[in-house]
Amino acid sequence: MSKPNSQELLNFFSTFFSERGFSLEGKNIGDLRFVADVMLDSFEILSMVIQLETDLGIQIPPEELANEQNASVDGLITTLLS
Amino acid sequence: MFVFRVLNKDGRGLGHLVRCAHLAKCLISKGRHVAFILDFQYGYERDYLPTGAKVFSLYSNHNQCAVESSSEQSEAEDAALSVAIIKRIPDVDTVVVDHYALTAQWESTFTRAGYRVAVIDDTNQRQHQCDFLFDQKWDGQATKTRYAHLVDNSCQRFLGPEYALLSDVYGQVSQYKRCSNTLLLSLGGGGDLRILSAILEPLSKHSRFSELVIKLVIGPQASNVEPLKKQLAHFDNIRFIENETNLYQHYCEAALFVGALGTSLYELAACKTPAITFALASNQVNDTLALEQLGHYFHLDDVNSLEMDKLAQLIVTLMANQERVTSLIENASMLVDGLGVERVAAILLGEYVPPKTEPLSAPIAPLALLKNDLSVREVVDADINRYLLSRNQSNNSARMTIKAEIDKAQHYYWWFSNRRHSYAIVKNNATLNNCGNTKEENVVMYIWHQALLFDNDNFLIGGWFTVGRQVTFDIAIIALKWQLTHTAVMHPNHMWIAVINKDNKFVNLLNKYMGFSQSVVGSKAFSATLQAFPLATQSEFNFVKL
Repeated sequence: MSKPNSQELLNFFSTFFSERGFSLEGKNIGDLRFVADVMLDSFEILSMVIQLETDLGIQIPPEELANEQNASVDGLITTLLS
Repeated sequence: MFVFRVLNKDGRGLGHLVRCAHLAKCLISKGRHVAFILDFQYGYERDYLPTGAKVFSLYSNHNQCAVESSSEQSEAEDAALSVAIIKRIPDVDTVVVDHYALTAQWESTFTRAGYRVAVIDDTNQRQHQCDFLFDQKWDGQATKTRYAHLVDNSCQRFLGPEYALLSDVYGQVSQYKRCSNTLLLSLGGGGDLRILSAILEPLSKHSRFSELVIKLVIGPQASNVEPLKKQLAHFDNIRFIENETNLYQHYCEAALFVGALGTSLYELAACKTPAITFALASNQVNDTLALEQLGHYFHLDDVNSLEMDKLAQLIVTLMANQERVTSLIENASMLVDGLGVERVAAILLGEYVPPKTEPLSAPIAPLALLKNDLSVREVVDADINRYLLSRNQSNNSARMTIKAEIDKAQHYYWWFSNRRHSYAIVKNNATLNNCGNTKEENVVMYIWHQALLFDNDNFLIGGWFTVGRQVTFDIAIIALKWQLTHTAVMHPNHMWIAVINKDNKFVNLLNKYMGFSQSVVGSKAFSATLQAFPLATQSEFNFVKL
C-alpha cells in the first residue's frame, strides 16, 4: 500500500468525523482538534488509529497521540507525512 | 516558671499528661521550674510527672469535673480557678495548655494578663489565642496548613512530627536489640481489653502461636483487665506489662506492634518498629498515604469493623516477613527522631534553630523508559496501600470479576503471598524541589501479569488499573504494548488469556488492536480462562486470548 498524500488524509478525516455526526460546514478541517473540537473520546481515537492502519496502511506510535503538535488534523497530517 | 494546664478527667487524657511531662522534664533539665494544674489528682499522675514539678488541681472532688467539651461557662470557670492557682506560684511567665476543653476564650484570660501562652493541640478544630501552637499530627501535605485559620497571624505555628513530645530516650541510640519472635499488643493508657482478647483468640489457634513471645500492655485506665488475665493465664508465652510509665524498651525489642494508633505512632516510628494499628477514637483515623510517609503501612482503620481471624493471619504473615516489613519503616520519607521535646523546649526558651529540610527518599529505579516522561518500574512493598486504594476505586473495580471492595487486612496478607508480577507506570513531572530532588513520583497505573499452568500448557493472565483518573488512552496503549513485549521475553511460549468487561468498549478495542481474539468455547484457552477467572460470566465478559 503506497503512502497516502495530504488530500487523501484530509478525505479520511472528513469521512471519519462525518460518520460520527460532526458537521464540517463552515469549518476548515485542517484546523480542527480531535478532542477539543470534534469531541472524540479515547474509544473513537483508538478506532481512528486502527482505521488509519487498516484503510491507509499508516501506523501511529501511541506516544505521537499524546504529542500536542498532533492534536489537530493539520498537525497530525504533517507528522504522518514527515 | 512554666505552668502546664493539662487534661486529666475521668481516666481520659493520659497522653496529654505524658507528653507535657516529657516537655517539663526537658525544661527542668535546662534549669527552669515547672508546675502542673490538673483537673483532679487521681493519684497515678505522680508516676508520670518529673521530679521537681509542682502539682495543683482545680477540683478536690472528681465529680466536680463534669465538663465534656468546651463551653463559655466552663472555660470561664476553669480560667478563673487556674488564675487563682497561678497567682500563688511565683515568677510564672509562660502558660502551656494541653486540654481538649480549653480554647481561645480560656487562653485570652492569660494573654491579656501578659503571660506567654503555648498551646499543644492536634485536632485542627479549635480556635486558639496564643503565642505558640504545637501540633505534632502528621497530615501529609495538609500538615503545613493546619490551624492556619484558627489562630492569629501573630501566633507561631510549629507543625508535624518533628515537634512530637516523646520521652528523651527516643532521641538516643537504642541499647536494646529487636527480638524476632516478640509481639507487643497495646491499647495505650486505657481501652477495653476485650479488644486484645478478641485478637488473641484466633491467634492462639494458629500453628505458629507457640513460637511467639507476646507482651500485653495493660494501661492504668484499661477496662476488663481481670477477665483478660483469667482467659490468658494458661499461656506461658504471654506476659503482661503493667505499671510501666515508659514502654521504650518494649517498643525497641518488639518485632511487631499491634494496637491502637494514638500516641504510640511516633514512638514506634522513632524505634523503627513495624506496626499493625487500628483506630479507637475518631481523631486516630488517619490518612493511609500520609501514615506511609512515617513508615507506617499497616493501619486498619476502625477497630469495630475488624475481622479478628484476618488480623491474626496478618500478624503471623508480617512476623514471617520481618525483613521486608522492617525495611518499610526504616526507609520512611519523614524522619521521626525523638528530639521533639528538645525542639519545643528550645522554642519556648528562645533558643530555636529551624531544622534543615530533610531530603526526600530517592526515587525507585525504573525498569524501562516508555517515553520522555513515562517509565515503568517493578512494584515494591511501599506500593502496598496505593495498589489497594487504586484497585478499589469504583472506576476500576466495577469492571473486574470481583467487584466487592477488598479490605486492608485481606490485601496485606495477599501482598506477602501472591505470585503476581506487578509494575507501576510512573509519569514524572521532572520538577525539582528546594533540595534538588524530584517531586514525589506520580504513579498513574498499575499493571500486572501472572503465569499459570493449565492442563500442561502455559498461560498468562494479567490486568491493569488506574491510580486516580488521570490515565489518558495513549498511556494505556503504551503500557499494554510494553507489557506484551516484556512478557514475550520473560515468558516465551505462554499464551495470554483474559476476560474483558463487555461494557468497557475502549479496552475491548485496545486488546483487539493488540492482537487479542475471542477464545473459542470449549478450547483449552477457554477452559483455562474459566479456571483463572471463575467469577467471569460470558454474558458480562469477553473471553480473549493472544
